[in-house]
Amino acid sequence: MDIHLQPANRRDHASAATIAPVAHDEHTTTVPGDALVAATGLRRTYGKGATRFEAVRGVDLAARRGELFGLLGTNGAGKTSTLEVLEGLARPSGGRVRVCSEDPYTRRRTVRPRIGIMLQEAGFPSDMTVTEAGRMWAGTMAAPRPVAEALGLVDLGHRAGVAVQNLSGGERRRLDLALAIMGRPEVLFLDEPTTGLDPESRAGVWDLLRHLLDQGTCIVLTTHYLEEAERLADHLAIMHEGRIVRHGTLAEVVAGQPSRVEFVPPAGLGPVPAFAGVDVGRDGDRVVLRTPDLQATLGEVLAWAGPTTLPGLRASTASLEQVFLDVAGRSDSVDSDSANASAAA
Amino acid sequence: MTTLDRTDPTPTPTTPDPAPTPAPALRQIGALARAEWTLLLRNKVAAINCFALPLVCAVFFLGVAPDALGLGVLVPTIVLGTALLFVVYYTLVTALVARRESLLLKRLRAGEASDGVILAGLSAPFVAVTLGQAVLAAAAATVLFDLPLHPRMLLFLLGALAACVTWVMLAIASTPMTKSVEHAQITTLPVIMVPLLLSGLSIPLAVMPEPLRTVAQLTPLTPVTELSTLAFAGTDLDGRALGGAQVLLAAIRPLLVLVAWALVGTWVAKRTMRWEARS
Repeated sequence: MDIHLQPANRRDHASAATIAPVAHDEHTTTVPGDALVAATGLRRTYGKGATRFEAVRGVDLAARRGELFGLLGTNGAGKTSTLEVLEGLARPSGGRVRVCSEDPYTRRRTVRPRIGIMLQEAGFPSDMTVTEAGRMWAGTMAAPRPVAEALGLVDLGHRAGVAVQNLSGGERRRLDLALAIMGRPEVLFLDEPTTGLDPESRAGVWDLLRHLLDQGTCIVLTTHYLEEAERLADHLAIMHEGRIVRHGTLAEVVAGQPSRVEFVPPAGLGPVPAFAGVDVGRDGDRVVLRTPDLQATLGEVLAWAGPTTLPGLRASTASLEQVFLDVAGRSDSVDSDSANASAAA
Repeated sequence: MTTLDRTDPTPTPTTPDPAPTPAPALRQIGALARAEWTLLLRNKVAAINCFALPLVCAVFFLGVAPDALGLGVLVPTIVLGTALLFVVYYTLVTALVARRESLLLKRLRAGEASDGVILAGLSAPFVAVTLGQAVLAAAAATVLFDLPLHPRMLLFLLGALAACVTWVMLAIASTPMTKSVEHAQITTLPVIMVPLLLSGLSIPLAVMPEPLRTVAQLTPLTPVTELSTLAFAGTDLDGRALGGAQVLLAAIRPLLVLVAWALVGTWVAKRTMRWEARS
């Protein structure tokens, strides 16, 4: 797991995300360069009466041209439910959604040619070949890339004549991606795009996504791979129980999270002293120190140990994984406003 | 991975791409129909249902069918009727359920085609097969039985077109309650058997007691028999010869019955349609 504060190979483009407040005014007109995807107070409810369940409980988000918005969360946090509303597949129960300045549900016909959707799960008749599938899909589009070009972009050119049922899981996933980008979309929605891919294919997909971002595509992506979000996302949001509980750039999301120093206390050194501002805990036989200032605490620990070896010594800055586990561990719902406010601060 | 084509228009914040004009519905329907047609030819059971069954049924029903109608009316009516039941209805139900269960419908709904275009595209091959067979049967009957050509024969074509729309809507409306392709054998049974028994092809409408005949005329296959009789024989169901205007007047009620069933199918489909797999 990559634990750098900054993604290892971060693109430098001008629009690197800052959190812009989303306008709550119903009549705001979107100007070029403004959010291509915007949701305010988004809610989605399933069922009625006793079985009523609110899967999305007031989500605000915005993603711009050339920017990747990563939506993270545990299973059942409401990511796919949110995405389906943004994609125009479902009507929101409350709130407002705009994609390319239009309502993606009621203006499906005009919005769809401008967006690409890769569902978490979608299929093809099994006895159709890859090229036939691509040709059928292209035939429904306003301005598709040539089928061979789209397949080439995801390294499926050599599998063009193969029946879809004979593709591996990873190849099928790449075919899904090829279809999603076939229309040169301005906005690309990807629901767990690299699930089931081997590491090499995953790296290839990341490369492709970076190219699309450089060309100005706006990407909204959900993933279970935190590394994927760390590497690609300009802007992250972590969902939990239907709400966004953390959001911002990677640095902003992990800011305020304590760094960790851990080791197995050696015999003969006595109890671990109390360091100022440091929370001391245990994880099995390991002592875990949580500190806002990694360097200072590490220095104090090393000074305390002197020449004695600290077995298993490890020091790490706050990682997305830690934030994620923190959020996922919460049993109760959090006041989304205060959580959002603190994350945005 | 291959690098992107650098000739791609690179959108900049100041000059966003003009929104592309949505693809024309007819082109979308054509692309979907072509794919469905390919799959139909590849699926032996469905292909036999589509191409051979109407012919087999025609031969079978010619043996049991009432003589009252005369062969010139019977041949096209039986071919069209069985094609409606087994091609437009039964095979389309199985095809739509198969596409739903394989998550193709879900995928198509995430694309640029509207719901109506998706359903029209997947239905088109079955409608084309049915209309083709009906026209061939009508031509064959005209030649074989030496029927004089008459403008009223266009009523047969009109009836065939209307009935195709009706039975497509009934097929779509039957998919939500159908869990799997195999399950379609059960769920489609009532909609095949009841109209078939009352169509006038199994029991002559002329010999039905009046109340039963009135009910029969309200079922979705009987109008096809009535319109064929008008088109090829120029008579009503009791064999009374009708003049030109009377033929047209007599055609209104059966056409309205077809329209009514199409609306019923649309109403049910709109309320119950499932686009995602049930399993």
